[in-house]
Order: sequence, then structure tokens, then C-alpha cells
Amino acid sequence: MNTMKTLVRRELWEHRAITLAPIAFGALFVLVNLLAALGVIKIQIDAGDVDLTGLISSLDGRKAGALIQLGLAMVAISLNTVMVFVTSFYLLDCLYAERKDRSILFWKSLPVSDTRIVGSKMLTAAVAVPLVTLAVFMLASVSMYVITGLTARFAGSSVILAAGPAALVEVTLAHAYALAVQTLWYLPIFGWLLLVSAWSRRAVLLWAVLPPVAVNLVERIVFGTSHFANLLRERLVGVYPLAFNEDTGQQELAWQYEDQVAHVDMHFSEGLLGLIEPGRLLASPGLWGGIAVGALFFAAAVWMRRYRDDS
Amino acid sequence: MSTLVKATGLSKHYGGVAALDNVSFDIQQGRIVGLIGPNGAGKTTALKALLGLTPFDGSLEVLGRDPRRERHQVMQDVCFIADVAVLPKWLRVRQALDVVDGLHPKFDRSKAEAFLSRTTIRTESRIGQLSKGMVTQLHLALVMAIEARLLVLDEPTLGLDIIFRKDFYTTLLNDYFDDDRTILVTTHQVEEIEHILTDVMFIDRGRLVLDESMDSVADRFVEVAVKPDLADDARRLGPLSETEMFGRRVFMFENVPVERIRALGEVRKPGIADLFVAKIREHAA
Repeated sequence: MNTMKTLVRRELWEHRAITLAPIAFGALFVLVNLLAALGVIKIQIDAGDVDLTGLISSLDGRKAGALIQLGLAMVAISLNTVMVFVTSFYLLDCLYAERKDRSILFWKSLPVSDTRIVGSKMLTAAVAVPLVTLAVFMLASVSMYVITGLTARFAGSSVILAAGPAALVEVTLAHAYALAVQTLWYLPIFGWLLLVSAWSRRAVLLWAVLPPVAVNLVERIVFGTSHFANLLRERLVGVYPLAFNEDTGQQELAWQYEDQVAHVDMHFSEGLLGLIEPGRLLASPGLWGGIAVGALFFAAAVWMRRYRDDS
Repeated sequence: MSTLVKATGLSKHYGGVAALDNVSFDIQQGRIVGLIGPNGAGKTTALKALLGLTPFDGSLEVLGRDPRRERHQVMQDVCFIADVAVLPKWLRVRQALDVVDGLHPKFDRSKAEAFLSRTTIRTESRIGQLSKGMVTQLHLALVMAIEARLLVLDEPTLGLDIIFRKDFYTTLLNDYFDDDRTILVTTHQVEEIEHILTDVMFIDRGRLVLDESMDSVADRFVEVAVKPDLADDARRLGPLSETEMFGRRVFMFENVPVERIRALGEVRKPGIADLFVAKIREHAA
């Protein structure tokens, strides 16, 4: 246990981008939110032609809570996208860099098995980085809640301040769920990237991308079909439709408001937790097949690191 | 005395070239063994086989285990310094201590810190910022603080200036080595480690051409400087090598009774470097 902790810590020391990128994006969202709030306040003071008070008081607690969740869900999705990018580059680099600078000879001089070493990299990508992202999201969403809540208070309504805490809890839980299912779904991709990183002598990115493209081309030319391409697309973007309910019939809340300058007509669901659909994902062969393929790639990466000798 | 390493019939081919060709040797506890050979002779391959870093044919036991199958258990008791470049450049000195502390059960952090405090290395520096000599000092500090039974050094002082090189071996001998420890070191700068070795192995083109303790080297090989008029007498005794120095012929003999040589001139113990050259030439012939 202590070994794993040290190994994961070492990954975070070496690859600082995997923690800094989510932090930077989280900070960016807070900053944009702050500037927007200041802008709204300034317009209100200078011009006074927007009826901010009227706009906000057209919301009740339920609608305000749902809107907060909706806004923060956008933040969560952006953070997850950033996370997937940096994690992919991290996985491609982690077993390649140590061979390139020969520091693998130092790591191999320590009494730690290759399974544990490669395992620590998978653990970093699949657990440590998502946890960092979740923590960043929580900090950012609390900050944005305070900023937005106080702005609304300035406009004369406490509805956001009041609805916030429950909405924050719900959106955080939904985000944790999204991170978990997304990570499980991407395990075969993570395994593939680790394998390429352990195997490739140079141009890791090319080796990660070219084989799938080649398989796709060969299938198209030889069989005239595109099953592999569909499989890949499903793997890249297919998890959210499976793990969340998109039933528009559930969007029972409506926010409508009309005055001389503003026109609002939105329909949305009450809360994110209502959209969660774990059963369908857990029953899908894609999830379990993907995990099995990921395990195969992982084992191959361990074998590569153990026996590849190019130092 | 127990046998730490037992190698029998080690072979390793790269393409059609033999890096190791049926090599057998034992290493006993408490010895300092020099593995000496020209570049490309198979030194590094032999060490890599020993550390389980490369596959090979033949049988090999390190502390009773096969390094191919039980690599990470073997590494509990074996330390390894490859050359100056292998410590990761992004790591800070303090983090290097944390890492080894967290990963090696036989690491004594306070020992390493005590050793580092005698150097100019600062704990917040990144390894990439340290000089080559300092990186070697750091690696040595880490390794000396591990209660290991076998220390493997592969050209550990390559590219260092003379002060660091001297210091390196002095520290190793004074602060690390004792009867329970064993050191296996490869180098091509023979003169530098000659005085600390207890055993010597010469390797050339994948074959062992000499495997002796330093004591028996002194018994087996003698060198004598002969006046030119006695040179033919010396040649009749079948010398291993003949060189000229300051107007005298210098002959080296292997397994020739010392009484017969004494008649030719002043007998002395040959240097390892000269012996090495003579044996490699003999092997090449």
C-alpha cells in the first residue's frame, strides 16, 4: 500500500500537467464567472435598463437549483474533456520517457515488480487524476456558487444562495458518477496507450493512432464495411448516452420570462441525479468487453516493460 | 564464505554476434571483483543478465534466485549503479530520498542524509541541475544507505574528473565495504581500481580469459626486466608477452617457476593493465 502511494506520488511529481491542467481550467471558469458577475453589476448600476430583479425573481427554488446544476454540469464536462486529453498524453509518455532518458535503469534497481510499476501508472490515470479533477470541480463550483449567489443577492434575490447547497451536493455526486463510468469505459484506451508507451521506440503518438486507422482502412478496402470505425466511435463518445438518460420527457421544468430587453424560454430536468442510468451501462457488453481488452493491453504492457531491453 | 553468484554456461547473442559465449564464474561473499574488458567485450551484458534486465541462455543464481523469474526479489539485496546518467533529471534530491525510502525496505534514510550533508548537494535541487560528479555522489549516498548484500557498479565513474573518481572509491571502501558485502565492478580504467580489488575477471569477445583472486594473480604472473643480451634466454622460457621499456626488454611469464626467472633480472608483480593487455593479445592470437 505504501509502495503504491509512493509510486503514484512519483507520477504526480514527474507529470505535473495532469494536475495543473484541470486546476488551470477550473481557475479559468471561476475567473470568467467573476468577470461576468462584475459586468452584470456594472451594467445594472450604469444603465439600469435590464430588470435583473425581475429576471431573477421569476425563478423559484426548484428552478434555481436545476439551473445551477445545469451550469455546473457544463463546467464538469469541460474539465473531464481536458482531463481525458492530459491523461492520454501522460499514459503515452510514462513508459516511453523512462526508456528514452535511461532512468528506467534506476527504477529497475529498486525492488518493485513491473506489474506494480505499470499498475501505479494505470492507478494514476484511472483514480488519482479523476480525484484531482473532482476536487478541482468542487472548489470551482463552490466559488462560482458564492460569486453568482452574491450577484443575485445584489439584484435583490436570495433564491440562488438558498438553492445552492443542495444543488452543489447533487451536481458533485453526478460528476463523481460521470468520472467513474467514463474511466471504466476508457480502460481499454488507457491500456492501449500504456502498451504503445512501453513498446514504441519513437513517435509514440503516431504509433498510438496509426494502427487503429490502418485497421479501419484495411477493413474498408477488403470487406467494404466499417465495423471497426463504429466500434471506435462508440468507445470514444458512447459512454454518456449509455450512462445517462436523455429522455426529453423528463424536462418538466420551464423558465419563462419576458420584458423589453430579455426573453427567456428554457425547459430542463429538475436534477442531474434523476438522469443517471447505471443499469443500462452495467448490462452493456461494451463495458465488460472493454475492461477485458484493457486488461489484456495492460498485461502486454507489463510484459513489455519486463522484457524489453533497449537501454 | 558463501557463494552469492553462480553462473554456468551463460550465453547471449545479439544477431549473429556472441556478447556472452558460454561464460561460467562464481562470486563469493566479501569480495571486490573487477570485471574488466575492452568496449563491447560483454561486461554490461553480463551485468544485465545478473540483474535480470536481459534474457539469456544458461543457468544463473543470484543469492539463490534466478534473476529472470524473481527479479524484484533479487533486487531486495542487490544494488546497482549503471552510470552517471540514470537518475531521473526531473526528480528533486529530497524526492529521491522519499522515493527510495518508500520503495526499498532496507533503506536507512538518516544514513543517506548524513552522507549528503558532507557534500555540497542541496536537498531542494533538481537532479538535472547537479553536476555529473554530484549526481554520482547522490546515487552513492542512496546506495550506501541500503543494507544490500551485492553492489553492482557498471562504469560508475565514467566521465567524472579525477577528484570525484578518487573520492568515489575511497568512500566505497571506507564507509561501505565490509565482510558481509560484495562488490562487482566493471571499468576499462583498470589502474583506478586495481588496488581495491580482491578478485579479477578479464572478459574479451564474450569469453572469460582470466578469473583469479589478486593473490593468485601475484603467484601466477611475474614480470621481469631483462638486459638485451639475456633476451633470448627469456624467450626460451615461453613468455606471455614482451615489451621494451627504457632500453630493457620486459617479459611477462605465466606459471613459470620464479627461481628460473630470477636469474634473468629483477622480478616484480605485473600491473593489472599490462596483464590485461597481454592476456587480451594472447586471446586474440
